[in-house]
Amino acid sequence: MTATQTGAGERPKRSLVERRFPLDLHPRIARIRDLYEQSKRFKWNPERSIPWAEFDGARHPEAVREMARWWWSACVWTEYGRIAETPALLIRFCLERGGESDAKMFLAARGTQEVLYLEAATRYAGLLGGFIESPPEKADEAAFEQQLYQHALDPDVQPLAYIGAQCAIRDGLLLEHLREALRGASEPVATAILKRAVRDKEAQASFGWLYLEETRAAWTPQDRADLAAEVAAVLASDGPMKHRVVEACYLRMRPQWRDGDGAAALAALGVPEPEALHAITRRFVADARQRLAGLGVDLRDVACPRLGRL
Amino acid sequence: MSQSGFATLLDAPERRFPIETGRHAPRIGDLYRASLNTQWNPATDIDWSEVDVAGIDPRHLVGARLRWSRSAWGEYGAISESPALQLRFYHERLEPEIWQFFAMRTQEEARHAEVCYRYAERLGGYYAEPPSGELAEYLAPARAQASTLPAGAAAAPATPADRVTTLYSHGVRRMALDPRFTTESIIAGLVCASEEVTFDQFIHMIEITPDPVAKRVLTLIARDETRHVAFGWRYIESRLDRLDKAGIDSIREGLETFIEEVELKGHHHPWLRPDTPTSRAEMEAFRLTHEAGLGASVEELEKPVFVDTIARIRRRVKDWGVTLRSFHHPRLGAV
Repeated sequence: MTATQTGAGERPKRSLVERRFPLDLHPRIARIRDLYEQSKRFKWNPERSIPWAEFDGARHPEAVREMARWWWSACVWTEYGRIAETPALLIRFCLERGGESDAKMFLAARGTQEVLYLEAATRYAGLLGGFIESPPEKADEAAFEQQLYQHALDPDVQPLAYIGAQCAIRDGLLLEHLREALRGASEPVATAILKRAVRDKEAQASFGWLYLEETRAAWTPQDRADLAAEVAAVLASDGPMKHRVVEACYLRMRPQWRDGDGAAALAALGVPEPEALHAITRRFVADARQRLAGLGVDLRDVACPRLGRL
Repeated sequence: MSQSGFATLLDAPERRFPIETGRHAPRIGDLYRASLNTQWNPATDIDWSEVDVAGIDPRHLVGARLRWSRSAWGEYGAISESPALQLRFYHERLEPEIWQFFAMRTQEEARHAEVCYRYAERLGGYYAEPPSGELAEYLAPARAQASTLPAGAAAAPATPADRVTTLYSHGVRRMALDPRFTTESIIAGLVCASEEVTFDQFIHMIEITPDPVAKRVLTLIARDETRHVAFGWRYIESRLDRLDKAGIDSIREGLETFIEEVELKGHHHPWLRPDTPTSRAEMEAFRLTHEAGLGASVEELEKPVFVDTIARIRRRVKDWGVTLRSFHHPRLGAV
């Protein structure tokens, strides 16, 4: 990364030019290197690691299967952009001047984790009745098409702010949602997928927080302000988007499945209740605010269209 | 500005839906599956305790350290540059098997960089940049090149740092994001030319390397490279029936550009580089590594392999309707 000062009071204009040498491949951030090492040990294979044959569609009412396939499809819609975002972030790290290699190695592994999850989730949606290729409303597509790969490569977006918002916060929130889904799941295929998704997402969220902790000594007040702004933007958009998907899923349910047995039947297939996700999101934001404060980052109230003030 | 109206693919809006699933490119899907089923770990799948440097002459050891460091730089180049192709595949909404395979490929390149780095460390220490100054002098004594340089291969001045960087990069990142280059031309050049050369170089080195650790490292990398190369040929073959003459021409241009500008400039073989203190030091490092049996070859052994590879590529792409021009290099003559 090179920076050229533009004038008093303005942020430096940045441009991305790779200077490959000296190429530091030594482990520098041990805890991030550990995540990379762990990713090699925790390898899995959607074809072989998931007990697909144990799925018994007859045990789940058609309406529940219909809702579940909708949910699992929506999970793919949400995560699909990662197949471009992770390469973009990896490129960004390679363009950063003097960057260590640990984050790059981990991101190379993260790309595989995402592909495996997408394959498994898509296949499961197929098993439940068929993967749904698009949101029902054309207008909803824009909520998913967030162009994060462009954002990751935008020279004016600080890598620190991006990683804090997208990895520590967004992945952290998705991790809590996945954990909630896993808690309720009992169907063997859903459980097997979610177990692996949680394990991989734990590493991805850890990466974000570790990166913040390891780089904080070099932060400027502007870095902290940029990070807070990016985090607020993510919470104001991405978290609620997932809730909207879940709520729409429930609204589509027949009345007899909306309460009692219906929620439990959906949970068995890995579909959490919206109220639970709301509570988890509130708790997560409170914890994240505290954790960020410990890093000297002041995350003020976030106006969330779905959940109100966070 | 290209015909698409966007300076780079990053300027185009994201178009995620409808998300395509299912088996659309089964032959590439097979490579993805094979990749999943043959993952390995440089930390645990090589018995590093077998590396014993005690009996190795110090100069040979320095050469081997540099040789394996150089491979780490090359593999790192793929970590840095092949993600740009993933962005392109996403932008062009190519079949799911293609981005699935390439995600695995990027991780494999990281694995290759890691294993080369680990080996260099075991041999005494990884070098973070191309040889210059004392190291170049230590590895390339005065007797080295000057008297044996073939006619036409004039000595070049020492390579400035910026130029060194470009010599270790094949420029795929820029091409991948530039809509003026077709995906077919990039894949043909990068894979069917450049990686084909690399693959043959690996097989050759495996055949002549006695050291068990070096042989194991080379074998594990070559196993991944088999799939990388297969991807390129399968990808192009799957596109042929939808390409017009301009499309076929772009494949030819991609192949010729990579052979001329990447391989014949010495991206993989230091002896093909312009004569500089750096390239002399690298050649010497490869010779010393070869003498020690630690996983390298030398110009006289690699030349026929290289010539055969280009001849085979030439024959094979004829089936696509592509006729490659002849190439010339002072150390090879016409190929």
